[in-house]
Amino acid sequence: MMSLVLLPISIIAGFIGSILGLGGGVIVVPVLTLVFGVDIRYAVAASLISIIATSSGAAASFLKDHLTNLRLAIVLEVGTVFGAMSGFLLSSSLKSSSLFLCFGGFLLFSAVMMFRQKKDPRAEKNHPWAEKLGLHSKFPEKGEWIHYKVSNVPFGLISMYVAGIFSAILGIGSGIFKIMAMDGAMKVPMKVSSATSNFMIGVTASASAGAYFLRGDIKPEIVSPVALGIILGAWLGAKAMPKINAASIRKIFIVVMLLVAVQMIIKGLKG
Amino acid sequence: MNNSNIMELKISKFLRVGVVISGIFIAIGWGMSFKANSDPFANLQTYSSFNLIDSLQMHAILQNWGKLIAYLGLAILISLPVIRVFLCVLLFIKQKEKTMALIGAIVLIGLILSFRLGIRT
Repeated sequence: MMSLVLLPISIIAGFIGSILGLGGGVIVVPVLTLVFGVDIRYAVAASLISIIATSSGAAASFLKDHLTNLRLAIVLEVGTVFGAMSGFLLSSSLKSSSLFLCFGGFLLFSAVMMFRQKKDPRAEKNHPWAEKLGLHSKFPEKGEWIHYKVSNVPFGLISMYVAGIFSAILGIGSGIFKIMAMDGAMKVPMKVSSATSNFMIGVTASASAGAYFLRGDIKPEIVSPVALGIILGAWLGAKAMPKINAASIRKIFIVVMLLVAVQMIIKGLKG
Repeated sequence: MNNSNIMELKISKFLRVGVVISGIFIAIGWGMSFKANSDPFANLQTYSSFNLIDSLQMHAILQNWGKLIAYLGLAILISLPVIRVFLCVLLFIKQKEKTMALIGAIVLIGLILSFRLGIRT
């Protein structure tokens, strides 16, 4: 009966995640651990599965809108996949209390970043690697094609490595780090960095989810309702997005994130 | 839309179909094992290492088909991004883009190595 309760909670998580551009992990992991008392390692593994589902399911619509930069995604996935490998190895040596503290810290950071004034700067010239690999592209905006260049590829790769580590340890998409690196350092337009990040998080999550799966940490009894709920919730969120005031939901969600962060940190400190 | 975009879109549509297929397997498996399992969280409060092969053997012996079907759905879902990267590598080879194909191959090798970590540890 308890696993049936997870279904509507996961639908809500998928719905909110889809509207606010967050992975369901930010909601799924605290709910599984704080509400249902599931060990954080199982919660992290369950969350990674839902990330693969939402990323793979949304890929077609983003590509159709010409927002995803596939070449850039493949190049940056080198960083995220090897980061996820390191994260998986690191997670084996971390205690549950450390994972709670890390997750609480990540939630605090995410809440602060959601207050951030968003800028959308453009690169004037390509980084030599971007030039050689043809990473520059174009995207449609207000009826015309906007061309853009890509700068600081090495910094982007290092940031993606770090994002991969956090994804594997905390069961998150790390989209917030990926978008920060792409639109902050590499100066990729925000719409393109969001779509490309969404495309990449599935591969990042798959790297560690595969390892957790073979190690036996992915339990169908919790993963099944979570994955199904997140898929359904994300689909409903995408449909409802034009009719919903995302700004007010964002404000409420930031407060919830801060409260959950405090709970996770307290649980981590108690050991 | 050029040939490359069409191929990329086909790959993404394949991913969406894959998500639906895996979702069906997961839903059927969950539905079948739902009745038999009244308190799924009881064994998940503390972490214990019990690898996938042992779990599959145990469920096969107990004829717990629901769990096995759910595992199949999960395996399909996890392998989707790997297949996506593989198809991208093929796309780059077809376009004679050696460097991009090589980078894609590195990502693919990274994914396989990462999966292997789950067997070793």
